Amino acid sequence: MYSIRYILFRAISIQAICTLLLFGMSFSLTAQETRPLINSTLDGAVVDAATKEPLAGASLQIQGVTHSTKTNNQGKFQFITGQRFPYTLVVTYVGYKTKEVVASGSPITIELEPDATGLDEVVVVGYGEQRKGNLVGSVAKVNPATIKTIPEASFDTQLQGNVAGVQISGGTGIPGSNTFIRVRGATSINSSNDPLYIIDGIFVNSTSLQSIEADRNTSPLADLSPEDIETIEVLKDAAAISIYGSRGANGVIIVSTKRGKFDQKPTINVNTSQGLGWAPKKWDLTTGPEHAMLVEEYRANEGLTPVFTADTRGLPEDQPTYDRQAILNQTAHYQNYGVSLNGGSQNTSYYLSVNHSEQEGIWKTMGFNRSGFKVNVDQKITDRIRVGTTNTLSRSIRNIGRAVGSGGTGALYQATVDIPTYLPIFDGEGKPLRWVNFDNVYSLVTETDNSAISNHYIGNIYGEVDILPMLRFKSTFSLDYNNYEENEYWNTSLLRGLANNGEATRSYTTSNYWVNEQTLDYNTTIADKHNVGILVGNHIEGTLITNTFAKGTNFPNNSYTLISAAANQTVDESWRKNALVSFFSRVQYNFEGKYLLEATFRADGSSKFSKKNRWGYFPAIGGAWRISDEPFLAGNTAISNLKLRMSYGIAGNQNGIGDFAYRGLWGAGQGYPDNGTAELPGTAPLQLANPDLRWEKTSQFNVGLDFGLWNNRLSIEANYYRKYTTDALLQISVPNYIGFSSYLSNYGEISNRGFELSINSQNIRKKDFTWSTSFNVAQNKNRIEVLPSPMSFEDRSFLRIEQGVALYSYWLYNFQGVDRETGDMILEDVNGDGEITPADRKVVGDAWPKFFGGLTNNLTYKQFDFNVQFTFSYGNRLWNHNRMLGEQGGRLDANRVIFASQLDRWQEPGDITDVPRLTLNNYSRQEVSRFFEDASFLRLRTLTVGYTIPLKNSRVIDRLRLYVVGTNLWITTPYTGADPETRIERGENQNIQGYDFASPPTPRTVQFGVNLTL
Amino acid sequence: MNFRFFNYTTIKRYAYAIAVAMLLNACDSFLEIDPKEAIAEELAIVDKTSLNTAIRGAYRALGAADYYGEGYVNLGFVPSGDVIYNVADNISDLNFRSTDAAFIGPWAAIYNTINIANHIIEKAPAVTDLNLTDTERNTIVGEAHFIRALAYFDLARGWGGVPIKLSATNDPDGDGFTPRSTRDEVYDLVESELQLAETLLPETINRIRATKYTVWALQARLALYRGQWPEAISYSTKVIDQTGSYRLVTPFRAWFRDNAVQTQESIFEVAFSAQNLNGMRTRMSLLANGGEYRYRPGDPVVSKLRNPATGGGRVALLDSAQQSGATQYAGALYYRSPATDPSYVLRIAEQYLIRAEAHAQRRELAEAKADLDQVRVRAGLTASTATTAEELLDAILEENRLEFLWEAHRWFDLARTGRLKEKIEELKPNLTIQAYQQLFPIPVDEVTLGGLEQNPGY
Repeated sequence: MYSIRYILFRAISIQAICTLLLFGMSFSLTAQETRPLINSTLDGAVVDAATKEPLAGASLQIQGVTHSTKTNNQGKFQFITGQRFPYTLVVTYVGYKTKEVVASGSPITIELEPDATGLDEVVVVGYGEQRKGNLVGSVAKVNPATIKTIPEASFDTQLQGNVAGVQISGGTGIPGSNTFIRVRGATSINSSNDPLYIIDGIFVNSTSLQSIEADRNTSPLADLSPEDIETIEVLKDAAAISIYGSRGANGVIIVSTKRGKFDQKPTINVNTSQGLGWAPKKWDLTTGPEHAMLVEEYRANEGLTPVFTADTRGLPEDQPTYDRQAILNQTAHYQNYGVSLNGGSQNTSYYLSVNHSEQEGIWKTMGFNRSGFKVNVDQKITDRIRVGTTNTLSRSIRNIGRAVGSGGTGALYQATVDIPTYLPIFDGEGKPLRWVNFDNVYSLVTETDNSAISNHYIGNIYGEVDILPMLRFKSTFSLDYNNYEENEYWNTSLLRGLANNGEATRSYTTSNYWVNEQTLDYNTTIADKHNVGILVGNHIEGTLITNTFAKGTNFPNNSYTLISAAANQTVDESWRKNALVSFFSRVQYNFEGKYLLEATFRADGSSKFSKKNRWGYFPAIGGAWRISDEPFLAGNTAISNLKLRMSYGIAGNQNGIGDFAYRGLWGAGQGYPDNGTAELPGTAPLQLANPDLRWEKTSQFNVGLDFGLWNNRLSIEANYYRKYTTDALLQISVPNYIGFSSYLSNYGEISNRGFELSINSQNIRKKDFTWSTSFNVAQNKNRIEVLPSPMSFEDRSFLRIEQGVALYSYWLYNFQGVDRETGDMILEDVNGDGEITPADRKVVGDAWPKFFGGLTNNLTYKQFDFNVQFTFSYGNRLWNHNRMLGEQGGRLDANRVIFASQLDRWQEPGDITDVPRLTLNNYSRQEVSRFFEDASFLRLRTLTVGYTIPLKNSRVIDRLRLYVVGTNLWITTPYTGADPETRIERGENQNIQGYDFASPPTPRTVQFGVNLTL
Repeated sequence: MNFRFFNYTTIKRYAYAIAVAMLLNACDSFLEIDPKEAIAEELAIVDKTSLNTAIRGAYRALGAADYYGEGYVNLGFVPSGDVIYNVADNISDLNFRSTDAAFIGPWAAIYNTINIANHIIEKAPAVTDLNLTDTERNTIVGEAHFIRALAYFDLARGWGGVPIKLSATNDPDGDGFTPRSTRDEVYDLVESELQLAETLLPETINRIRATKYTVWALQARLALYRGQWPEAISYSTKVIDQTGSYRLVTPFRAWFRDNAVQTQESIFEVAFSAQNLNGMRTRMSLLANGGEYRYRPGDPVVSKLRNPATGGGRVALLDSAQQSGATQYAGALYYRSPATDPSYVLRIAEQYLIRAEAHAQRRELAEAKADLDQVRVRAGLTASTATTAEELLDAILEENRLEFLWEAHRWFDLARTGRLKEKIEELKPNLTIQAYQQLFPIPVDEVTLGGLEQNPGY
């Protein structure tokens, strides 16, 4: 409670001074309210011009004033107004051409012509909405309706393959975990590369709150039910993102959840689905006899004595084989239930929903359950004043399984795959056996007791006043509040518990992220030709993240699991806070909708920087030319839309850096006894000061072309962009002999250049048969333009970036094959000194795809609907760490599994293979490019078949649809690992990408579901 | 009076100016957030309390995971031929590379320790606090000098000549690059640091902090490494003569078993606690004892320890378990739950062996044998049968191997005596040891960023 009160207090007090002063005067103008005079009553209906079917939900506005209404379910409307006949009505409806009608008496029937161009479609942009036809920026809109039921980590994964230029990989097969997402490449090395997420105007935290040895990151976005999402917009270019200033550089993802409509009868939607998922592929390991044979071959080659002999372990051919993967894998069950109610009266509209979802992992112990409800309400107080609220409350429970664990303890993958297959899982009495330095997988899957519970609130409240018909003031207060509780207990049948005689940890993280915004929006049309829009606003936010971490070891026995029972108890606490104050403005102008100009500007002040660098300024300008509206194309029947767009601007980035990064600090918690054993407090240097620390800035140039043919049955959007990041926030390595290994600085420049192409085509549009296709493909070239010195990641420095290469570059010995005569590995002698030393390692490639995208086909035939989506990626490479560890030439004997691929080793002169002869020299280097594999793929991501039961005569049921959806049903890839999209995500470093280690593959799933509308 | 002053426009203008001023002011204070978990560098060492917390931080750094907490100790005993890794590892095969975290980590951890000591030595004289006596101040500064000496000694014996940095780091670019000094220059520095510490530190017993005795013990070791036999003898004698404080405890296991800490065996050990666990325990222990069992002793050393005639009481350094009919051996020096096992830096047994070696080098064979036998007898063995100087030096080297099996000794002993190739190849016949491997590789970043010259061969 403290925090909420605190936030409110802060918001109010800061708000009072910072902004109301500016807006207060204009606000006071609106205080007087007059009773409307009734001068006319108009009854009417809106229908489709062709079919004469009533259109429910069409908007009608009296031109020149703010009075508006919507048609009800029968397509009827009523105006009781102070206006006298005649007056002009502007009627708009999605999918139809906007019509102006002069009303000179009641009743009236208005006929609307269908519009297939989609240019009237409304697109949500920063702090407002725009007609698609008037867009200057590059904004992609996704309606995720068809793919919502896919069991995914979080909703943003559903964008995969749907938006050109947005590279996504869910790819860990761990439910509730985070998503790898890059909008037009990566702009930063040490600051975050994740886009900014805004849900119903609420800025939300997308960073994992997992604090206990973050083996895998979890996604707070997974707490939001995809069922509640209406649309998702991705803002990509400077014209669109710069209004978000310092947070926009990585793109912005705007999510709109469902809302009720005014004058709409209550509608109930019930959705449920049930399904199964399983691992499409397992790791191919040697059998016991093969393992022993390879070990002996290695030993013979090295002149070592045999270890698999009749009087020791038994002869190689007598070795048994045990399958640990069968213990770990399971068929996952998925369940989804959702009920929503939306509707509205004349002055109130509402959307209520409740949902529950259960997802099991394809590896045991992993799972994700979410329950939540949502309340969205909008209320008109008068014609000019509206208030509303958006609320999502969810409770997510994650059952956490560690794939790699820390140092092998608790690690599911290692306990399963890394142990030689000839070693038994149980002894003769059924007691689980442990091998190498790993847990027993049976113990792990039965005894693991790790969970994280997130109680998450995302909500806002707003008030909106039409000060003048064309001048709107809006104030919003929003909050993203997350209580994230982690509990772990390791009993003594697991290594961690054994080491400490029982170990329990409990970590309690509270994340408070509040935002207060005011906007003043003015729109007018001068002389019917000049459309002007001006927006000014401010933004204040605060983030407070606290964590209390308690740990207990040494328990009486396994029945006591609370820390209070532990003999050794330790507690830790952390506290992070930052604040941001911003002012922003946007000016839009267009002449007859033909020549469009837009300029935005934002000033951000952040607590993360020292006083002299506190404020950053982010301008952008964009323009568009609707060539198709020019007279010379006006008569052209083929070309329905041709628009050229251009924009340039600057956005910033400060996410992911420490709240106090610019200061020179000494930390505590470095205790040591003065004598005896009682630890007393101690301090030590923590970080080096850098008072010059400032924003990372990314400038972006975009040129785009929108092209529509035949009433936009074929529409093409193409974009070329160039992003250039300067002052990149960089953890600069310094020689360790100064006592530090690095410090945070603005040093480095990164560029991203790319091309995006989307094609949408309505191939067939018949009454009983429709077929539409969407295709998108994108290319992004990432390059580090300036970097003071190379930076390495992972303990064997597998990844290394340097000037002139891309992020996620791999620094390896370049494998050139196996000598046919000797069987020895041939590595490139880069410096030509005749010896292979670390100086011969080089960047051999990176993890970026050459191009990637998706292909979606939607078909309907009578009552059937089909959706099939392919995603593809070409030219991306993946470091197969699993295989590297599994192909160590038999030198590790009983201490490590041998993958079946090792059987392809060179054996005698003339053998042609990529797997070298089994000798120490050939396998003492792990950083060899032969494990950096091509991971291009083409994947059948989803296949949906639905059938809507015809219920014309039912009074109760509006619609009933049954469907089956399969995901990841087919894939083709040269990659030898379990999944070409898999990746490591250990939290500590975003620069480790394209690294396949110990991840469960993306499951193959089949689900059956029902949508019911009442 | 000019009435225009009060006109509406002017008031509005003033009001606006005030509003803007308040706005900027309010925003600025709103954006000024101070950390709670850490404090500004300038406030770190200002009085007696903060001086005390800083020196504790320096000891804690000495016990960091990459220094005496594990990383540096591993460099002492892993590349000994006696350690077989159960997981992928290059150090046990003496496959040394400049990119290996096994070298990068300890190098950084040692310099981190030096930086704290530099801060203390630089700032302590300026602390004005009525409660801080001169003795207290001298003790803390003396401890800092000892820690700096130990750190530079550990660097020099591993990497040879290293950069000498004696000023506190406040600014990454301030000092420019520091080139490598020679090993002799570093050893000279260690010697002068120790002489300073000797004058500043009291003659008391504290086995987890530096005292005058601790300084003598390190001086003895330094003299041994430099081949200064008389100094090695005189300093070790000074420590050995403190018979009331330091003695070879019996039985052998008494100095570490049964949760013993700070026994009379110990001259200096780094303390660990439930809040600050010793990483070696998990890595070394058998799975059955909750360890990760990353490495094990090789068969030759196991049979040596298990043989009562050669191992004696030192068999306590081994743990074993049966699984599927086979016996697994593991180290047993670190074993506690929670892992509060101390990390042993200076033990009295070493002082006897230092003196024995120095005497043997001076061909004072009777004295040498007497000291060697002290250690042997304590281990439950009979007196040594060695007679010639060479035999004695061999016996002393072998005694060091067993006595300090899991401490930061063996590789350094082999490297300083030039017997690395012979001893390693004897145990791991498929390896070929080159002379350059008697020095560790300088971590790659230090070469590329710091402009340091790499050791030859890497």
